[in-house]
Amino acid sequence: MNNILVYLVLFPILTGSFLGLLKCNNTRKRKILTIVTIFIQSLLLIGSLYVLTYVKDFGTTAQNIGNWPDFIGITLKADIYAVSFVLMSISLFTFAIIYQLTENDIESRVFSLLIILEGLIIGIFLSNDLFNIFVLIEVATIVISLLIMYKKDTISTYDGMLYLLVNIAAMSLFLFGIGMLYKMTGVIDLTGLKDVLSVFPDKKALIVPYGLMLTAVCLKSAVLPLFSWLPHAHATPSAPSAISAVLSGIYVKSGIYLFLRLQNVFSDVFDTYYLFLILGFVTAVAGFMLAVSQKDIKLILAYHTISQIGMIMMGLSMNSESAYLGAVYHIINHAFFKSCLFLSAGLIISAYKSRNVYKIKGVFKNMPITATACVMAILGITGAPLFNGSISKYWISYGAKGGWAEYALILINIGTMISFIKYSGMLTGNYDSTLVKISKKRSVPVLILSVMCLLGGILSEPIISFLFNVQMSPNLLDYLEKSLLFFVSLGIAYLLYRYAISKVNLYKIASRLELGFNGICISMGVFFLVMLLYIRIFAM
Amino acid sequence: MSDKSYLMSHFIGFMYPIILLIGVYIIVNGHQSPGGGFHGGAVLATVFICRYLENPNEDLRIHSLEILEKLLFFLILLLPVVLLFNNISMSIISNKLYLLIMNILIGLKVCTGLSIIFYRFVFYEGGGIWN
Amino acid sequence: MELITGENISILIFFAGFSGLMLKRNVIKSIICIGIMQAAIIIFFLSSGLSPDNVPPIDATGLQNVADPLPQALMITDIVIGIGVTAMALSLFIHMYHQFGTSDWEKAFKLRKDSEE
Repeated sequence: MNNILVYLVLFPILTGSFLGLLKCNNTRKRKILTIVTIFIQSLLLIGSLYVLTYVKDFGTTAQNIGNWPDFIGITLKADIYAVSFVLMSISLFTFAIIYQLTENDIESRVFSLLIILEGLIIGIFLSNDLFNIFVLIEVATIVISLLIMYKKDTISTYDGMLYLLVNIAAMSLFLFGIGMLYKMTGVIDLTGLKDVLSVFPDKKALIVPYGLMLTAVCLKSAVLPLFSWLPHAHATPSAPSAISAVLSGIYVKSGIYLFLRLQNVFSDVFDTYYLFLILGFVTAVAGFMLAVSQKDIKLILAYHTISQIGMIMMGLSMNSESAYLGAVYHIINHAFFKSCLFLSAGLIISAYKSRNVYKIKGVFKNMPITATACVMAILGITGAPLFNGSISKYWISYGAKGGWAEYALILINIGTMISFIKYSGMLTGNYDSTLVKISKKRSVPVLILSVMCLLGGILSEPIISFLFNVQMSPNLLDYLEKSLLFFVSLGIAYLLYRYAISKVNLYKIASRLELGFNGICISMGVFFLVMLLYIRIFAM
Repeated sequence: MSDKSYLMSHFIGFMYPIILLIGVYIIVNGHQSPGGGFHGGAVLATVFICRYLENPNEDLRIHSLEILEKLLFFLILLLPVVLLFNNISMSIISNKLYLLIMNILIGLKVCTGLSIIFYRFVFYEGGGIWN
Repeated sequence: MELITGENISILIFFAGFSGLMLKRNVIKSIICIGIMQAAIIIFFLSSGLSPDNVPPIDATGLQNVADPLPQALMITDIVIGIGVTAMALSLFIHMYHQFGTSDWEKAFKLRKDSEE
């Protein structure tokens, strides 16, 4: 048992880098590539399921590499949240790799980079040591920047360069914070830090490292002033769609996972819950307003990711058990429906050869399977009853009872519905020109993902008790009231979109608000200073 | 720069065995004095760079360097996995010998890696990174 | 109290590099500023708890004042990460220069927006 955590991290990295040596020129090599990747993924799935059952029976397990005593060496710790996130990322990578295998022209380099990225993300979720997290995130930044810049045309070159430099600058801030913490306490291990910080005498000295580390983590998880790098990196035109799905579904969640861990470590020292509640709300509102004003279908989805992350951050900062679990379940749900939407958008783009949401029409008639999967994912993301989005949103608003947060969540829901009414405007209507033929077997992974969205809603109680070991059953009367609220907000959103929003040209306003590289760095500095002032005045 | 510089070629011809010796010394004494694999590898990479400075034409096979680098990468990953993570007792291979082998492997890998980066910049200025 | 210690110098250098990131419009200068920030972090880690009569932690026995080996090991890793990231950023910059013809962030941003429509 003891070694399996290390092998969960090392095995994809080794086999992925070995896979890069294969060249796929003919169909025989292509079959070898298919068999090898499916074999790697199934081994990883079996390994993580084994770890999950072990952790549920015996509690949190940890492995000290090199058999050093606790708090001295590098530790890989698997507690219940980490293992469920590992399972989620392995299953999503399986779907993305199957989608990429069915494309027409494939190169083995994309697959080797994807599998190496999978190993690095598993390492980020499992590691308990701050410097280990830093090293893995830096390598993941390089790998993702290579994947974004894969086709080397004009737009993706700028996006990849911006992504690389902004993330390296943010990680330098993170490392500086680690250095200050090490100088003061002498530990780098996260559990050791929590024990030391609860009895630390001089709390004022901890403000600057906390501010530095949180600025970096907030840039990785895209909260309000710091999200300008995200949409162009996730929705760049010539990257493979599998990489957009992986980035938006899993990698941005690793930023939120780091936020969760850091708040857990510093919970005895500072009380910054209210700040992140407000930041989450503002991020969510800005996210959907920018999503409504875009013309490109992938950019609508990428800006909408920011809105959902704002909602998850609200759920994590509400000081309530059920809202916390609802937010963690929403992380998993959002991964599933956002990847389903990105992969189906990839299919639509390769069929229609255009990315404009006003020009694409009639998806239901021409590609029925893809359109069905799209509709089910949209119902999931807006929180229709019986889908998984409604369960997680129910638990988040259950924890927010009695306060302005409940109405804020209803507002965010209406905004989500408006942006998806705009997105689903391309499902109806007729299309005049001819389409490129897409074979039916390419839509199979998308359909399976959307069916899992439906199952995640109906079978939510067994799934939550399987993954997190708690029993949470929604109150039936409350749930019916929430479903009624869903239909009412759907009506309001439709009326708002039809008569108010589609008349205004929001695209010009939104495109003036985009920040360049210097703007992002200035907003990092301003965010850091505001956070220092807030903690000094309010949270001590 | 197509004509050789007399001063450069003689001076580099004199210096390069000394650079080689210093690089190997830093790598091999990594467990007892400052240095180790990384720094010694960077010094060894200057041997390849000197070769280009003295004779700037494209007669190096980058492909063999790349294959050597990938082979060294696998060896570097396999050695700790086999020896450290499986609790094989350290009586088979003592601490100093393990450190020596790891330093030599890392030094060679850093040397080949840095020379490949330098030669790619110089041969394919701005062209395909993936060629 | 001494003013010129390792930590104070490294904090000054770090924020000088960070303000260079905010204010300079050339891409190469941004890459250089990231290198400056990484050098400052290395100085900060190495100077934590160091005093002039420390002995190197190799073959040291007994009651000597040994320097802390952990930050030194972490900083070797960090130097190598810095090399890899700088190499990657420079090769991406060569590509970007051939695509856009300029090495200015603002001009490249405008060119990118124009080529989108």
